[in-house]
Amino acid sequence: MDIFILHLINGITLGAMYALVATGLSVVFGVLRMVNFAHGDLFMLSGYLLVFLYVEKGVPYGLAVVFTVAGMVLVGFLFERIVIRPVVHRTWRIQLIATLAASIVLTNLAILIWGTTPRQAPTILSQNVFRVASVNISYQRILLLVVAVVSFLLLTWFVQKTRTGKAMRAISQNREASVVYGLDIHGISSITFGIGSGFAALAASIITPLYSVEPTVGAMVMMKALAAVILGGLGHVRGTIYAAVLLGITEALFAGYVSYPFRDAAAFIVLIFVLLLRPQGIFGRKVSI
Amino acid sequence: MDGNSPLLLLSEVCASYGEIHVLKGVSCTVHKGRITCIIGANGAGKSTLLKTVFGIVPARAGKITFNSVEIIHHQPMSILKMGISYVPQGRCNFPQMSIRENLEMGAFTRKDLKQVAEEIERLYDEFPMLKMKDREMAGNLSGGQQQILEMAMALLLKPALLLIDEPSLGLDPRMMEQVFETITQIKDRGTAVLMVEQNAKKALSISDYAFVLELGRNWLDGSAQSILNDPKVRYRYLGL
Repeated sequence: MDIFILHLINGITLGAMYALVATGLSVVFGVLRMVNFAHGDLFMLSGYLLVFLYVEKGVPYGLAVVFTVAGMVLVGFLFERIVIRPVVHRTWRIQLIATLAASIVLTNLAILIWGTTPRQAPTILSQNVFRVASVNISYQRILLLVVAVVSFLLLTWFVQKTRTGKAMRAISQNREASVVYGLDIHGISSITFGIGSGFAALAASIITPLYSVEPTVGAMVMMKALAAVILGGLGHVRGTIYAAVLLGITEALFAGYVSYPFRDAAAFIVLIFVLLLRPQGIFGRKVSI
Repeated sequence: MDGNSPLLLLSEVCASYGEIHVLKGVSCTVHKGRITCIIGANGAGKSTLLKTVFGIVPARAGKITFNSVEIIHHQPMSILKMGISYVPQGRCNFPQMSIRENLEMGAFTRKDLKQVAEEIERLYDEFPMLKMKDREMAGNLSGGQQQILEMAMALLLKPALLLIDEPSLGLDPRMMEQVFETITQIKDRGTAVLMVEQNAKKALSISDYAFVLELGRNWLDGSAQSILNDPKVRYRYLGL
């Protein structure tokens, strides 16, 4: 039983991480109708930014997280300007090549700058455990859960109540109408990208102390996040979050009871089965791109 | 601005989708305080004309002036800010947002939020249906109600000219009646209307002036009454 609870908690925290990354991917898809294949690399860059600030420069952890997120929001704005805006009116094939190319460039840039040796950034929270009965949970995992819940609530408030948030929903619901009523599509896309990148940074700065960061860490995170986005229904943010948690739990239980080396396959097995039964995702409406 | 100079003037406008020439030199004028309608068969270029004025389809040749200012190579955003709003054919709202949120989005380019809130209240008085369904999602309204919502959204930008494409498309007769009534109301508020309509008889009955297009060219124009009584129009477009 204890082992089961341990796997379950690992699964939920893993799911929270996927959810943070996938949320960024999902809001960007909702507003821009394109999948950013470099999203995982923004996660990877965030990890290195955290290591640089916290490990190399000795900035206190909390402050390092804030700076990492703020810095990556700016990187998101720049990325939208340089990579996304030139291809936003092109076909999806060109968009795919553009973001995939950006992903390859960023991965290789990271290899050139930081090498391939994984970097770690242990914190007091990641080195201490919270003990319930005979189950040990690292405080860092509890922090991850709290941050995930709080940031989803903030995002919900932002999207429901603010003018910019409402415009994000409007653009994702009817792009042609947004042109007709003069919504600032470029400006809103830029902000959306900043938010997406910020979420990836939040995930990376809390998860990196639990694992490590290396140049290719983005690829697998990206694949899992994409699986969650598809599973939840493209552009459906709440569906994406539920799907991410579901994937995290499935993966942890699969790793614990079935096969640890094949744990990465679990998410995709779930994805294939769900898509066979419900091609539009668990919560999704049908969209066409 | 003297009373005789037109609000909108198109002269010999050509527009095409790639190789397909849709407008082959169309001229027309829209005056303040009037409903002007454009009728014609499918493929005559009616909708393209509105899209060209709004800057969605680029004009290849000709002149378009609004308040005597050349607007032919402007983007939709800048045309919107000059005082032309557009209600396209088919659904043009945000289906999973409430009526109030839709209206707020209609006024997105305005920064005077307090006045916008007051104007939404005034629109609610004018169109009680919108007030009754304030919190309803736009996607749950009937086709006609959505059409009225879209016109109200466009009005929040206080346009001098409203372009409306096929307002009666897909509506039952009762709803159609309400939509045309709303368009007359819009004219009475002082907004000029340029409307494209498949239902020629109904459109002519509320219009002041009309242009008849055929295959991308002007065919006839005149007061709505004279067009309605023209034997050739009655034969070709009114089935009489």
